[in-house]
Amino acid sequence: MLRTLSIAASGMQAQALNIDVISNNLANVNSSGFKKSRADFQDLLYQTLRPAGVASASGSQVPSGIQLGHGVRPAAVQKIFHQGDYQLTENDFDLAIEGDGFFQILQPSGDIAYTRAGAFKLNSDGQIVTSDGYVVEPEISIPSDSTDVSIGTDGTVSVLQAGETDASEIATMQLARFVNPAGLHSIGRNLYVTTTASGEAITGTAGEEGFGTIAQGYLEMSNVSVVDEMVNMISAQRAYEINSKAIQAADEMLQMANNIK
Amino acid sequence: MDDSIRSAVNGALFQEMRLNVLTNNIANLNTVGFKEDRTAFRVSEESLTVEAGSDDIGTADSEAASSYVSPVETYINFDSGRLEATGNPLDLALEGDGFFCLQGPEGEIYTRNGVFSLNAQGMIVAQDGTPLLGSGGPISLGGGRPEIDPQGNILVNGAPVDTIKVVQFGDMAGLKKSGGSTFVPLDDSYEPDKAQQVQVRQGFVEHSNVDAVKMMTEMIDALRGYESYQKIIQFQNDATLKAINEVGQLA
Repeated sequence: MLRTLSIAASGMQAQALNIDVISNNLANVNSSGFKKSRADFQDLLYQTLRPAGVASASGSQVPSGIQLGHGVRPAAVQKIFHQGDYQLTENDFDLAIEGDGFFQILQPSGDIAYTRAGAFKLNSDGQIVTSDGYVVEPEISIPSDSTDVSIGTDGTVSVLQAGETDASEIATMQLARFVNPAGLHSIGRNLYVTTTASGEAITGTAGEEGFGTIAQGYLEMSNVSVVDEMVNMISAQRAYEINSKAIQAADEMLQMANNIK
Repeated sequence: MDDSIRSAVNGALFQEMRLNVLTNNIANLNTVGFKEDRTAFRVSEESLTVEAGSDDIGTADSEAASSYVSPVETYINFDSGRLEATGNPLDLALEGDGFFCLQGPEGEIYTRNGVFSLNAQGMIVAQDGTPLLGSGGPISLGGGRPEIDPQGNILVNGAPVDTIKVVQFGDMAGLKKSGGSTFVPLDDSYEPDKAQQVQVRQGFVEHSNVDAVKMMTEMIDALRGYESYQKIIQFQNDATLKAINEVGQLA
């Protein structure tokens, strides 16, 4: 009887975590480059009261035994790297990756982080940086006398300098990709760092085999679908509710047992 | 009189166990690859044989008391859950009655939970780190995005790497659960066969096959069933009380 109470409690905790993950997805529905998360659950160990297939007193075999479960636990919260929608911004330093790949960002700590959020800016030194001022790796400096910057689908950065008629190529952006992007660790600010599960970054040029291409003047929107999240939220909330009903049922049964005498 | 109380207690215990099993199903409504447990009422043969054959009431009572333990049995419903597209390259679902094989600490374990990841050695592993088995042991991906076809062949950059081992059991009643949406055979010597007509779907997960509406109605049924048994026990108690106090009372 008490088992039911703790099993249902584990179910309610799991659904509460599910709602937390869904809320975070919904909160980031307009964060460019955001990738949604998903909570995965596993059933807990089973208690085998009587194994199936044992011989009974009369010599026949018991066809099925008794296995009692103990509820559920969260197994993982993992990122889903679906492509997000593209939005045309016509901003020179808004870059979207069409296909696989991440921009590499040099954190102040010196470590490399990875992002799909391509809303870049220039800092006072002419370097391409993120909204937080972190420099894009490999470092690209735009000459101060540039009148036009164009970034090709393969990541080549060309500038038209004042007084010239031909654009000159100054650098090439590099992308990184992972065997298992779902294994990346989120550190906030739309940045990810590698883990053993993601594998080491494989760097290369946009458009090469396995890498996506770069679209200048576009931003990749969040891949959160409001409709999907609403459906998941309903499902999680109702699952929470039905678990609470199980607790009520157990409570009522205990009350009945107490009322026998 | 004693018999009906005993039967009612058996019935109540069954409903109690049934609620435990239903609650575990409900707790796993959103667990990938979970298969629901079902219950059946079963009074142990031992108590029945003693009651039918023996005229020694004392023995019958003490034997029957042990039948209070578990008038229930559970079995697993292996129906498929619904598939949901996730687009993750290492989310795999099986169409058909097959299982993935994992390398557990004590031999192979089987699962339909196809949410996999990679470990530091580049091997495909389940969420708890147990390696997924291919044609000859754990599967190592050289790097690169895996493409997996319905037959379970893994291609990286167009080159075949390995084939996921998918198996089938002739008699699925020979399996028991071991947590984490995994199953093991009851009898260690029970070997599965290579799966026939089972397809691997990359980018999909198989949801739990628990039906919330059915669970809710069964829960009501269990609760009200329990209430009926409780009334019978109460009625028997009242009847006994009357027999003691009123039968043969001198006016």
